[in-house]
Amino acid sequence: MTSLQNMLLIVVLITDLTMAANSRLGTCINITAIQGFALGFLPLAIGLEKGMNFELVAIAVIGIALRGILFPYILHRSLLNSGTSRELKPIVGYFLSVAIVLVLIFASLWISIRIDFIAPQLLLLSTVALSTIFAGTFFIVGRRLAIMQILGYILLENGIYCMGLAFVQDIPMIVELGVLFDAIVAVFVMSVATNKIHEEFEHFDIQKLDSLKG
Amino acid sequence: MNDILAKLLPLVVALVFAPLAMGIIQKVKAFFAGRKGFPVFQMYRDLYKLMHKGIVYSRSTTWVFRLAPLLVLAVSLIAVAWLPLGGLRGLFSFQGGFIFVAYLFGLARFATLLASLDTASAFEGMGANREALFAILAEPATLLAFAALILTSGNSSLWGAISWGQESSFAEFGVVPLLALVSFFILALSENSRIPVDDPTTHLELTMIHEVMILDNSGPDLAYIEYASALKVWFYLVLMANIITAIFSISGWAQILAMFGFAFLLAGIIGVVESSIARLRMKKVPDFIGSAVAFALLALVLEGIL
Amino acid sequence: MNMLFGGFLAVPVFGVLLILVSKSSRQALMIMLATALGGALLSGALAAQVAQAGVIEVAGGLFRADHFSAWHMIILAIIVFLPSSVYAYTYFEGGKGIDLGYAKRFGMLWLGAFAAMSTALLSGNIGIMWVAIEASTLFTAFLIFRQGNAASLEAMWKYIIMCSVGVAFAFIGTLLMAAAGQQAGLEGGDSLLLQKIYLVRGALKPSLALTAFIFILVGYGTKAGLAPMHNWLPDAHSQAPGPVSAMFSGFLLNAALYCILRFLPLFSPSDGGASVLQGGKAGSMLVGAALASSKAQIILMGFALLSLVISSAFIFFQKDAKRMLAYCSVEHMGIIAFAYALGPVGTIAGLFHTLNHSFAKTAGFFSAGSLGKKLHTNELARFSGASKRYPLYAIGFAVSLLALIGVAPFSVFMSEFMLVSSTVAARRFVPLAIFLAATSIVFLVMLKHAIAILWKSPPDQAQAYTPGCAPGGTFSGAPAIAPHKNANPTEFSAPSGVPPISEYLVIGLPLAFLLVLGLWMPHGLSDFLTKALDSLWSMK
Repeated sequence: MTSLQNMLLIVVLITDLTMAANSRLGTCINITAIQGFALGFLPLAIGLEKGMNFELVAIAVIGIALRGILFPYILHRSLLNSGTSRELKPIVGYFLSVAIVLVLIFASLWISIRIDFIAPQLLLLSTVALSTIFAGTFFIVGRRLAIMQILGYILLENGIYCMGLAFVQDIPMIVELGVLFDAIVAVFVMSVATNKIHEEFEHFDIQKLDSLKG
Repeated sequence: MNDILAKLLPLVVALVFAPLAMGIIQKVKAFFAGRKGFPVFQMYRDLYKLMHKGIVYSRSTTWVFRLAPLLVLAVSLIAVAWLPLGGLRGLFSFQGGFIFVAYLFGLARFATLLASLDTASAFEGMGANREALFAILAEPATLLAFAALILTSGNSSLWGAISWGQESSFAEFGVVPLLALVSFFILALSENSRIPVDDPTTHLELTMIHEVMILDNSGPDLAYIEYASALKVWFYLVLMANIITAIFSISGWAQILAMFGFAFLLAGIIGVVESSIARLRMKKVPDFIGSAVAFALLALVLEGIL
Repeated sequence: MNMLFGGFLAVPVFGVLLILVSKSSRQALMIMLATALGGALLSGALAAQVAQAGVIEVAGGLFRADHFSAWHMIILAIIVFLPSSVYAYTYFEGGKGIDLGYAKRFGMLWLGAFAAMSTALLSGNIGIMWVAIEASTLFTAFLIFRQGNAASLEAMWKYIIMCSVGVAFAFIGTLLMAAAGQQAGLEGGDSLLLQKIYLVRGALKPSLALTAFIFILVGYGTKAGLAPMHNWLPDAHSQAPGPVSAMFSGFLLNAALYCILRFLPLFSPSDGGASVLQGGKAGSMLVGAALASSKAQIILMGFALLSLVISSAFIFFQKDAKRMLAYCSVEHMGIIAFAYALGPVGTIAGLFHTLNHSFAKTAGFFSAGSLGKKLHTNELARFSGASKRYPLYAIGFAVSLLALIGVAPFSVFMSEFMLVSSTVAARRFVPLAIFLAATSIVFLVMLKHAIAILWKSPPDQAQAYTPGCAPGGTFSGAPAIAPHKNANPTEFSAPSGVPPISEYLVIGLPLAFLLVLGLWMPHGLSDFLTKALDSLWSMK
């Protein structure tokens, strides 16, 4: 891993943390956009080290277009529709959230050190991957608003993408594109669903959707 | 001879330039507010003026109140004596020195707190309360940020912690000190009672923290406290400037020059920050200081990985 | 042969394009029906090909069909999808009950789900398999939603979030498995090919492969409705329109389970498949080595038993007909997983039970859906005595309940009997006891409901006709596109004519098949099942 790749990965790590600290939904969307850009440039940084090829450039371009631009655009639009700007009463408070994400980062480091097939130079990548996956899952569970859950899902996807880079070499392009395509459709479907939820209930609060039981 | 001069230089520089840095912050703030502002050397004049005024002591105060300003000044002076300037070590330096310095400032704060409680004023008590709370939060951040730096450099003196960079390059060591730097910047704002934690120019007792504690001080006492806080700001500025020059591996005399540049640049940045963001609500301040802890912890984790 | 694989993608895409330009909702539904028929024909052709040629591979194993996947393909296209499409046509009253936009959306998503699920079945690449399963989640999500129905929205959101996140975990498992494959010496993309991983399974690092399997099991298990990840399932099944519930229960769950099962053989001892196959015919000659369960099988068994226990508890207290069927699906997924968890011994029972369950559950959801639509409620209490007014639906529902619980002449009884006997052969007595206890509870409860529907007198008439009286929005009447219809109770005060002949077919035929298969198993079928077993466990 070169310093450029390290810097990109650390940006990802810091975005995980700032996500946890932020209550403004718009800012959170922008934070995922930054993360998307960092992850999008990652294949290029790898290309600089190991030699550029068409596949890496294509994945980088598509990744930036989707994670950096399209996802935030879709989410900003559904946020506009909703007129909500911040999550006031998250299930887990913001201070605690930051603490939890930090603990998750430590846990990821601990796990990564213990996974013996990770090459030492990939330690940071796998730590970032795991902690982003954990953080994403945490946002899905620990936040009330539908949009935050979508953001959590995006983080989860981003983390899995990093994990693919860390654990598996040369994933065929068709699979990679399929995964990206699924992610985009998932985000689209979820944001349409949030719009519907807002139309129907006049709120986004998933905690209040509890009529179905048993 | 040269040796002693080299050791004294950082201290002398601090004593001379600390009020100037404060002046620069004020000037930048004035510029952003669209005013002409005081001249940058205003603080020297203020200190001179205060030194020639008489002191008024409230009848409710005791010797604690009279001792505190002197103690604050003395302790700050000693702390600054540890401050390295580029390649020059401070006057004192030993392993683990950073802890000693951190708690010297703690002692100064303790003296201020006691003095403000001694006045028996409700407002000053409230200020003391807040100051103590934020100090508690800032402490782990300071120690963790230093810990990350020390693990990187392998030298636990204050000088060693922030000046390891001469032989290394940005590529290998850059990230950890960068995160520590962010942490220190947040600390510089909170420890020196700057916006967004506290507003040094506020005029409303309800929202004050540091200023409310020294409302009753006057004359030379006030001058001591003001000068001590200028020294503390200078301490943080030089600390950060040291880290920056280490990150960019600047060494020799160029480093000392660069340090001045960065220190004043950072003063300017603090001015920009103060003029561009609003003071946080009291409830939010712990979150802000907590982020310094987060950055320091992150630096520590990454130190483990890289 | 390439044509055949291409067809599974091309036919739905063609259908979607046609639906896009269709002029009326009737037209859109007709196109959907025709495409479903095309899909059924294709899968028939595929099964015939596979029966003749064995394994078919395309694009270096990217797409791959063997007896095991062909078997599931038949269930998907012929047994679940075609009847469900026919039922959807009548459920929406040939397009009269819905507007054009809804019909178009429904048709496109419906066909998209079909394409996604067949891709999952026909892919030999675990990455593509994942992409297809995730795609099927996304396609089916909006099928649950009906405009103006808040509860369906809630169910949809639960479904999307739980299944997307779950399936994302399955992808983590997929990556880990690929990493294990690469460690075992596979190059690049080969590490995603199931066949290639199978060949090096002896060299897989056990801890890594098992971690991968747990992620895969939990991930796809969420989609398959295995407890304790089943929470979305009853909501989605009860809120979705009848045909959608039938498709969900009949195959969506099986598709996810199929993906889990595909990974099982990677953990079996190196010569497991073939030797058991030889022993399997003689029954008692099973060798000890073949009976030893891998850790993966034991974990799967745990989830299976948990599903059985939890579902039986929820069925016991259930008051809503469609939710009861949904929990029944959890139970049957548990039974199928149980069968496969026994290893090759239980596989034939598992394969046969998959078929039987899909038959019975589609018929059950068809009749329950129509009955609920007529009665304006899904409450089981209101269903009692319905046989007098809506004989087809009520009897269909009751009989499919009987079939589902394994009453003797139906083939579900046969497959469950096979399962029990192979459990005894495998000497798994504790799981057997749990299995029997759970299924007995379900048997008694559902038998009670079936009897009530068939012979009990109807509840208070005045109440029975109050529309929308089910609590918590579990009301599932006509698609609420036309809510004014529901507001007029007089319209439904008398049985509205005779059900169309197609409904007799989609409800009656599956039950008839169940009856026939229970009494007589054709030789060709059992032969195919044996080959499917072999193709699962030894990848031949």
